Amino acid sequence: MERRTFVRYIGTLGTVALLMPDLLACNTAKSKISVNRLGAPLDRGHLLRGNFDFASDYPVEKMEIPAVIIGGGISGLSTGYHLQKKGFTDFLLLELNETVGGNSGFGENRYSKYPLGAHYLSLANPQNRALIDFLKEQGLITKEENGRQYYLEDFLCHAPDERLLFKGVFHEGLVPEYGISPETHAEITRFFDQMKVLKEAKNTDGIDLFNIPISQASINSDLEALDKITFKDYLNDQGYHSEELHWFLDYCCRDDFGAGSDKVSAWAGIHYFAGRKAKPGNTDPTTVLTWSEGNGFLTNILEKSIREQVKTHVLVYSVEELDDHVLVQAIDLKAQKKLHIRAESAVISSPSYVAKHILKSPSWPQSYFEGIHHNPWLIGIVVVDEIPEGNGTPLAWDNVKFGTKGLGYVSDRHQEFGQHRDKHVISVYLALDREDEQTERRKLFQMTDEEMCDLVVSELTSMHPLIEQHIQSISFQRWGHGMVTPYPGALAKYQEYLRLKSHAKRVHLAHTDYSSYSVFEEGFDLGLLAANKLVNHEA
Amino acid sequence: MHYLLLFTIFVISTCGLIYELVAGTLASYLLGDSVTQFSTVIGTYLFAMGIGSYLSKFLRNNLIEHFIRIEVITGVIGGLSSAILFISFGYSGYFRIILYGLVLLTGIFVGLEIPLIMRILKNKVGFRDLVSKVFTFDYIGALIASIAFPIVLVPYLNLTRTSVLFGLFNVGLALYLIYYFRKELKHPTLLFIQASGASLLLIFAFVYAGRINRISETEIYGESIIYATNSKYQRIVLTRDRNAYSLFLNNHLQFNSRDEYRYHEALVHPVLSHCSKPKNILVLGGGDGFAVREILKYPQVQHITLVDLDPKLVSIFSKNELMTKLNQNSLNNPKLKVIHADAFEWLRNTAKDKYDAIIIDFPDPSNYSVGKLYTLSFYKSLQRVMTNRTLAVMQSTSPLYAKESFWCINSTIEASYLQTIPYHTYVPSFGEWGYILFGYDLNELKVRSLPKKLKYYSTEEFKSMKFFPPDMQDHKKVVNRLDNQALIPLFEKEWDSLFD
Repeated sequence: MERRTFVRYIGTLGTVALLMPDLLACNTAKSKISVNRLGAPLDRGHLLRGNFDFASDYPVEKMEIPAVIIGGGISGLSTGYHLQKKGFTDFLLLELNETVGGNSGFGENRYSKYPLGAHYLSLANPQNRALIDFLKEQGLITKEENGRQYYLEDFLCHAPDERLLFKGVFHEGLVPEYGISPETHAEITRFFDQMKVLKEAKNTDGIDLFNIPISQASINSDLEALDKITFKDYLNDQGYHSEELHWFLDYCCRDDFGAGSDKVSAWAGIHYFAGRKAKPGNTDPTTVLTWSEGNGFLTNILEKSIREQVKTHVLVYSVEELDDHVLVQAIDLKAQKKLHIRAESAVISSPSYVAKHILKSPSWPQSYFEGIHHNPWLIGIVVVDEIPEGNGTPLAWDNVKFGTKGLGYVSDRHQEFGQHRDKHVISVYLALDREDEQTERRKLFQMTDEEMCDLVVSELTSMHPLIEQHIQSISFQRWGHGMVTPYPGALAKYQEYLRLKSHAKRVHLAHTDYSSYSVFEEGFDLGLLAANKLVNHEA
Repeated sequence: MHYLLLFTIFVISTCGLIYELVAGTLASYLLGDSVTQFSTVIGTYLFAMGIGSYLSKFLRNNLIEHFIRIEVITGVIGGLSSAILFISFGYSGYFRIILYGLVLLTGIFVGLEIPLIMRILKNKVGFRDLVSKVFTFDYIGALIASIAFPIVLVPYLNLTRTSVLFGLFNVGLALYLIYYFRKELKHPTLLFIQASGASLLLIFAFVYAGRINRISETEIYGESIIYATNSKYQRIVLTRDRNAYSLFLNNHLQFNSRDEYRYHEALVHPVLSHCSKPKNILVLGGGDGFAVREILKYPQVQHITLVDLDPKLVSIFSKNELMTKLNQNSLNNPKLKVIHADAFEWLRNTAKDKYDAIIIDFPDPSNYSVGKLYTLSFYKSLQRVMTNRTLAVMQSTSPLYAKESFWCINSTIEASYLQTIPYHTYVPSFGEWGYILFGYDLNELKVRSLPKKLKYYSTEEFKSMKFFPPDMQDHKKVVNRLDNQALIPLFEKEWDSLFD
């Protein structure tokens, strides 16, 4: 891929959201809805095409620093957080965008904050000490007793947390269980029982086969075999045929990975269920922690600890690993200067499609970065003055319709403590996985406002036929690359990462792209491991 | 021509009587005691007509023009009287002044009509014939009006539309007279514009009258609805049944004036009488002012802070004369500070002071949003404004009809490391009702002061209130948290089963 193509990707990343939102109107059949685009590519992004000519006159600032972190998503922030916790504060974190957070970024409108991507944190597995300690330090876990964690009630997802529109009625929970045949019921029970067994399954070394973070799991040949087939094939092999169970599991895959069960690795599909084994003392293990701003809440905590070291608006275009140092070249877009940084070591917390263009390191061959997939996403943040009541369970945090390809919507003000909402702010999530990712990505960036509007509105009207007249505005967040999508081979990719990592000297990779599962726990863990490497290297 | 004027008499007398009937009906409907209301309204009206007759002598020249103008004014004032009264009942503290003012004004203009007609006709008809014809038509009109009013008009049109319709008759008559006398009038165009404007106003009022008048809801409650409005947060409905008033919020009964003293005395006095120094008091919910009324019976109390979400509700109970009479004008007491905020958010974000006593009077936990006010997290937030000595109480639904819900609230308060004293009493309108008194240390509770002349509550009574017979006991210790809201399904199940 040419450099200019890469730059286009930088543009599509959402770069610096300094643009005034271009307010347009979306004309639908019945109403006029005002629409705008968030994180629109910056015009400066176009200037970047072709050898960074615009920056040729920029003065060069030379620096020397022990460590540089490239990328301010959760993995990069966690690396920085753990470094400063270990008393290692002499480092820089370089972030291209105006704000850090990556997929865990957030926005705010007149009524509420809202997530731009990741919007919850599952309860911590008991073995994940680092995360538990972090949550304790932040007061999110109030105490531990008999190996159980007691969570701060305020940020646990308030009831009702989920509802599914199934057979015309909203039911609590997302598993379609109402009015199903006894055979289907038996299948659903069998599936969850099987996952329960797999939760406990251990390798010969006594370590769990499935665990989150994945660094605490032990991989054997059974898992490698599962990684060669799709989740759907696995389910069929295991004799699961019910439409309801298949829809539910397909929904889970699309929700967590951005692609359906017919596309993702069976290992990943099982990992989703068997990897979670939280033991909370004061709530249900499947509850999640969530906030209006989604994981932006966690982003803020991590960022606060390293505010001095974070530098935003910095485009890193080359990271070269040499014998006795790492040379990082970057453009400070705000100060309009070039940076030539000589570092002892560097942590690449950028996604694979960026890393492969900027990194020159004998430890990380270009070929490694191929075969890591990301489906595009469209998120519509919708302001609505009323959500028409349906039958059954009232408005929940997560609201989904059975049988559709959509993912439903999340009510962003669900965690507020007050009784009354003047306006609702809801996020409609659409994983674009119908065709291959390049095609879907091209389609997404060619979409007009009207087309995006239609997608979002039709997703909502499929659940609430009369909602359109209540919609005030929609803001679109387009992710050219969403979270990593674990196609078959994702586990093999992770094993390759482990092999390369063991030989890495000065450049370390910490991003959920490389652990094949994009959740906060993974990013947090990768950051911790990278920080450990750095500190050991210094010592 | 004089047949036209006699028809005129028929119309004006019908309209005049209708306005009188509307005012009388409305006053007895809203204020009760129909004998007094009808008697005073009719008296005022007749007296006002006398004033009108007297004033008629000052009108000279262009009598027809004067008459037409009076028709337009009578049509507008009389026509809109019912709407004005309905609206002012909810928003103004001067309902009676507005009522009698309107009756007086309408009466004066109606009183001007007959003398003027007689003077217009006096040159055309012999005096004896004149008097006989005028009064014959006057009384026939009155008869028809008084029969049509209860049988046809109120049932089919409602009060507001009835008065507007007759306002339109007055104005319509004016329009016809303008047309008929267009050659004799000095300013026919001006008069026409005035009359047309008035009729447009009345037509508009007729169309929108349905929103003002809510008599149709009478069926739902089986009592007369005297006031109904939608605030931003809830539907507020006041009803009257003989001399007792009830308040419904979103169709849930909040109080009945006949027995609310039982509910509110039992809510307030256990806490206040055991409180060593009740100076600074917090009331959450309770925008009706009844809890404040009870609190004000303690002279030691210096400050009361009332936090209620709904300004409209508080406004009704601080302005409406009937309601201020019921709550003894407590909401206008200088010791009281009213804050319009969501109680939970206020506690989390704004509250700074500590309070000696806290009275919590929220709606029942019938849905997930109100349910948040009964969670462990809420009681933890409440502890920010409590000291070791603070005593608090919460209305906690019925331990008889919803015993699991009641004890779930109790377990939840206990789970927040507070001690509780559950108790209950009988309120006829509600049935057996429950409360939970709580604080950090209730071990050495003793009575410090109790106001004299309470209608119901006494220290002896409190002893029996704390006893729970087996049918009101439950021992599952369910804790209601934000993430499970276990209370909501319990509450729904228990109250639903009551009506199966």
